[in-house]
Amino acid sequence: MNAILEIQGLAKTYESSDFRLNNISFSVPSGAIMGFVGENGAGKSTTIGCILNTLIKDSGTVRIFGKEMTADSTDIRDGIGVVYDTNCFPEHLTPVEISSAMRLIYSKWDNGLFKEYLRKFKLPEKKKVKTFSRGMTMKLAVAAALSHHPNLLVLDEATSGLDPIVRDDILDVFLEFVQDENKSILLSSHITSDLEKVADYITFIHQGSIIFSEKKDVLKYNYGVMRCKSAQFAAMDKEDMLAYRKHDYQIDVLVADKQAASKKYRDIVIDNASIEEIMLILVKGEK
Amino acid sequence: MMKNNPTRGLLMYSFYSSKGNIGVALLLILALGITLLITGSTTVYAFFTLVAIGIPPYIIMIKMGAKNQTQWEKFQISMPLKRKNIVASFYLSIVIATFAGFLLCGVILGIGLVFHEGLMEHVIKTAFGSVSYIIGIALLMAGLLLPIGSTKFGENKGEVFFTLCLGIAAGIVLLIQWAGGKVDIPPAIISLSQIVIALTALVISYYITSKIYAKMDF
Repeated sequence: MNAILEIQGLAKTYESSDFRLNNISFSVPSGAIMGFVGENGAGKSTTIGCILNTLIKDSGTVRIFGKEMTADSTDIRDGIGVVYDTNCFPEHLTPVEISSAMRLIYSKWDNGLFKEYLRKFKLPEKKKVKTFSRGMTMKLAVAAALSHHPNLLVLDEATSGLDPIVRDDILDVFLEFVQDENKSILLSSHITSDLEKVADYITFIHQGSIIFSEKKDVLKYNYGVMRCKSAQFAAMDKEDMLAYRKHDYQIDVLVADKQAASKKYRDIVIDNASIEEIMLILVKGEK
Repeated sequence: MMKNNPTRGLLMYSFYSSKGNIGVALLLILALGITLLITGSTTVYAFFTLVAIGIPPYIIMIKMGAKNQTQWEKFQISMPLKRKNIVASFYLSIVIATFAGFLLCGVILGIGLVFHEGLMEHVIKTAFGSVSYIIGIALLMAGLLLPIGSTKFGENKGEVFFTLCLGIAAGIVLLIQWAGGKVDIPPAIISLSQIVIALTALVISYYITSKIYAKMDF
């Protein structure tokens, strides 16, 4: 399967902070939703900034639709829909005004489709953005991002801070979008339940480095969490552990091969690992 | 399907964002214009010229500052736009606003001149000087303010920079007038040089802002 987005060896440092993006590499296959997960400050937005060229990268390559993304790659950006976590549009504009400016910027802007999304999301056409609630603003951003027929959607925490109903509406639109095998989504979020619902792949970033980039089903069916007592934990082979987290009466051990672990450690209970649990053990646990 | 023209699209955003304030400014300009048409007063004329030419670019600059409060700038970079298109749209917005105000001023003044002969005499004596003075300040101020604004050097210090740039621009224009008067240059030439210097400063400022913008993180 061809990759719509390929990132190789991406690095970025900031003069004003110690944070560093270290050699980031992953790809988003066509027809897939890539969940990009990590705690606040892990480097999700920096990675997205480097992908979209809003941040100037130090090194590495970003290839989108098979072409390298540079500052002047307007043809590539013409095929990308972007949604950030807050309102992006000037507050005094109405959706109708946004549309009339957008059609001069995007070559494939589809006013009919935009109006269709406005109706679908129950958004008023002629009210100023500043009167919109957060949910309405995010729906407007999604409508605008989809109305120029992009092949790649990049969503930076687009669902955070939204109530479950609005989130569900938006996630359904994303699922509909990737029905076309030539389209993909990079969905950055720390709401792991959203990713459990829609993502095909999960890339986990922590302290500026990629911890893993896997198919969600591999995580779901292969990864497991062993609930150990101290003695059981002490008897375990350390090479089988990806990470562990100590609680008062139990130690949770994350393993990459649930089947093998259940055969090897017959007396230890092994549960399926949710994305949230994997993230918590890897971030808050020890190795 | 419409042919895309990114700079025009950004100008449209700029216009729509400023629409509310432009409406209020237009009302003020028209109110002063009507007062001028009725009274023919030279004091109203001076105030009217200042408001009609000075306020529109001022509104655009204020709105550009406000835009920084949202993610609009970052969003623009992720659109199919070159960074230099974005910078060009800042400058074009201000030049268009300045000359739109100038045009409106000219139209109302033209009507005023038909009814007030006394005003005609005063305008002939002072129009070129005062108009070039206001245009000079507006463009010079934009030329100074935009490179500073683009560095985001303390967005919350916007008012300070705004006042500082206004002061410096007015000082430069006054200096040109004073220096011109010292060496007996005809007033028309002084006025013309004010506009030429302001436009040159704006072009230089555009290149500086483009360079800064090209290397900026959003």
